[in-house]
Amino acid sequence: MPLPIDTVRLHETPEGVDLALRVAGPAPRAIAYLLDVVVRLALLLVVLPLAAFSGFGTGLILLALFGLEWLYPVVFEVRSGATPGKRIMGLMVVHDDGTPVRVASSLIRNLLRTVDFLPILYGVGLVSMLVDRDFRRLGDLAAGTLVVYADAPPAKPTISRVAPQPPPAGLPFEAQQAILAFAERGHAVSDARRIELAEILAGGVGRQGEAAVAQVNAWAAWLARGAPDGRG
Amino acid sequence: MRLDAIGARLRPRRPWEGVDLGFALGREWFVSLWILWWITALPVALLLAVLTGGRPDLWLVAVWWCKPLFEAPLQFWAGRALLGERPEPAERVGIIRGALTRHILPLLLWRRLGLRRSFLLPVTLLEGLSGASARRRRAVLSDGIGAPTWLTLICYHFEAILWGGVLLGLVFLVPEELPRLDLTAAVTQSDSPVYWISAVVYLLAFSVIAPFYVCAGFSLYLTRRTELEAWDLELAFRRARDEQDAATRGATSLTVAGLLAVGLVLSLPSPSAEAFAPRDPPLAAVLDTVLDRGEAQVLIREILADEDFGSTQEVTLWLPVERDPAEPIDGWTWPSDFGALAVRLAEILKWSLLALAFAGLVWLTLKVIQGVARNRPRWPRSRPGSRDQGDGPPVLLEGLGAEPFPDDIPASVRRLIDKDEHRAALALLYRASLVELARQGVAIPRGATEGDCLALAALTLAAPRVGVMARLTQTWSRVAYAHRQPPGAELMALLDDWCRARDLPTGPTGPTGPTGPTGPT
Repeated sequence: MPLPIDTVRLHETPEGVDLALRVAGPAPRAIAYLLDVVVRLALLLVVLPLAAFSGFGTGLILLALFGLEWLYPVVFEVRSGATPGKRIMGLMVVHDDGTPVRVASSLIRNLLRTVDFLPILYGVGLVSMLVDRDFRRLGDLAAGTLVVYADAPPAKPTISRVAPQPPPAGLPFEAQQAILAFAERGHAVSDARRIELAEILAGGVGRQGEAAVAQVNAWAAWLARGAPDGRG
Repeated sequence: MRLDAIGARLRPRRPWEGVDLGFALGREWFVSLWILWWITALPVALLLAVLTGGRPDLWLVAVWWCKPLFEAPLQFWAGRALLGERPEPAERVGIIRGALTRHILPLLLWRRLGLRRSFLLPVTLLEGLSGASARRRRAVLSDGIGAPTWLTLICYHFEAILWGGVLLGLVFLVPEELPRLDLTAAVTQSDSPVYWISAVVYLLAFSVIAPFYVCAGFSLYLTRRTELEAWDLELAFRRARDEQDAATRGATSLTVAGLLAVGLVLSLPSPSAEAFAPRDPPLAAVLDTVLDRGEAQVLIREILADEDFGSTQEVTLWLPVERDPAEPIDGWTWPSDFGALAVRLAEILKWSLLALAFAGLVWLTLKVIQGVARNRPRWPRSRPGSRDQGDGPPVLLEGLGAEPFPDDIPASVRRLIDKDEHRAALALLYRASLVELARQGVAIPRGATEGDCLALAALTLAAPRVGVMARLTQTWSRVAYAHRQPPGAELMALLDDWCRARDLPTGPTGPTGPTGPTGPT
């Protein structure tokens, strides 16, 4: 059976740790670009009154246009990893090994927008993103960068306070994680579905219905906090 | 549904990540889906070309309207491929037949313009729901997410970008010598044959984007159901249960030691071996009957002695001897108090700069005060004789007139009057008066007029002198400004009065005074 398809790109560090980078595809990036266009237009509107100083003001506006076109993405990407549009969409630019993007790569990927923009509205970039398995446009390929989802700080786990019970021996790591996830996400699922899920696991020890849910929650409490007498 | 064989990783995702997974699926299956799309779309497109009477604009709209028809088989195919039953090419006709049920009809009629089309297609096709239950299902699924709508809008624009890109590419890349594409006609003039090119390119763009659109909608649907029904948990639980079942079945045939080892390796780490004792009945029964504590401890020790659980190694290596921090280091180094010295120097520099600035400030203030005082015309009105009021020095008066003063002023004046040089005589007399005034300590400022001098004189001189001064000033002004020569006798009288006021001999007034040759004629 082939590996399951996913949008996660694994990068193995020298220490043998797999960094999971969740690459972002053309759709959210298009929206982020649209938002950036809006932001840039707003910034341009701010400098537009400079046209009152005829020759000098026009020069300043042209400089602002240049900066907004070429330096706007670079400045934001180097400073905080994402332009305002990307930030709103929860995206950020990183090197393909997961390190923060530097000036050189950011300049390359943004200067090559001219190529990606061809022949109209990022036509080349779109095709490149559809073909590449990491959704990279040509600028990303040249600069060795990825657009990934920025990891939100993990929420504080909320395991309900029930009497812990040790789970069956020999549970693989994934199953333990799933038990914990069940305790945290169970309330988002309908009651019937929650019972159905719990019975898959707790049915083996003869628990049915709400008792199965309680059993799995007790296992989760044991995994999260250990045995009640501190032996876990 | 058998989730075990699912071809995509199930995990909680944000909606946009779900869309991205769909684009990844679409790329993975692109060729199959693309061929499938054309198998459905080509006959329909040809049929529509006939039905619309060869009008490319109508044809394009008609094909566009029928898009759900071409998307349904893709959805059906993707549904099976995702569950690990990737259909063979020979099954394509069957898939198309299976997908185009009567449930598709609403999608071609009143639901055609719905913006969540690809997201809700699985409800119709894979769940086979219709009517009120389908409506409820759709409402639950699309509650609170905007990504499906955006997905449709974005894919619409992607098609337009591809279409425009290919057309512009044709214009840009075809050499000028060859017949060129008339872009304006291709886009706007629906009756021109070139418009067909544009329409066919648009159809091509439909076909390229459709697999991505369908897969993205599908994986959004999967993401949503994973969120609502915790599919990933179901999958993990099933796997865990299957493994447990297998372990339980194999337990009796395994040796007890092996079982314990499995328990040790797979359980959570714990200081007490007792905590690992499995609590589920079958295992507990096995363990309780066969093993007592002592034997178990021996076994555990044996197993832990195995190489897999770590071993000790003796390593000899040389390490540099630690350097004594107090020992002086060879070679010249910066003096340790170099920093302090630099700070000291900077301090001195700072204070000297400050002092310099202060001195400059004082100098500037003085200059300003001087300048203000010089430019302010201020006359001593209530403080007679005060020196500090005007700084026009008496020295100035010494320069009045080119020639030096004669010793005997009255005699010189009288001589000048006799020589009929009345103006020179008056000038000499007036100058002498001013110098005298200055010598008496009256400061006459630069630029003072005759009137000013008279006013100053009135403050200091005795009354008879002031009277003479007033007459002298009046006469002088008349000569200097009005060019009216006074008669010689008048001048002589003035001179005599001037001398009398200073107790000087008045000279021979008798013969020269009234009978002067310069009398008025």
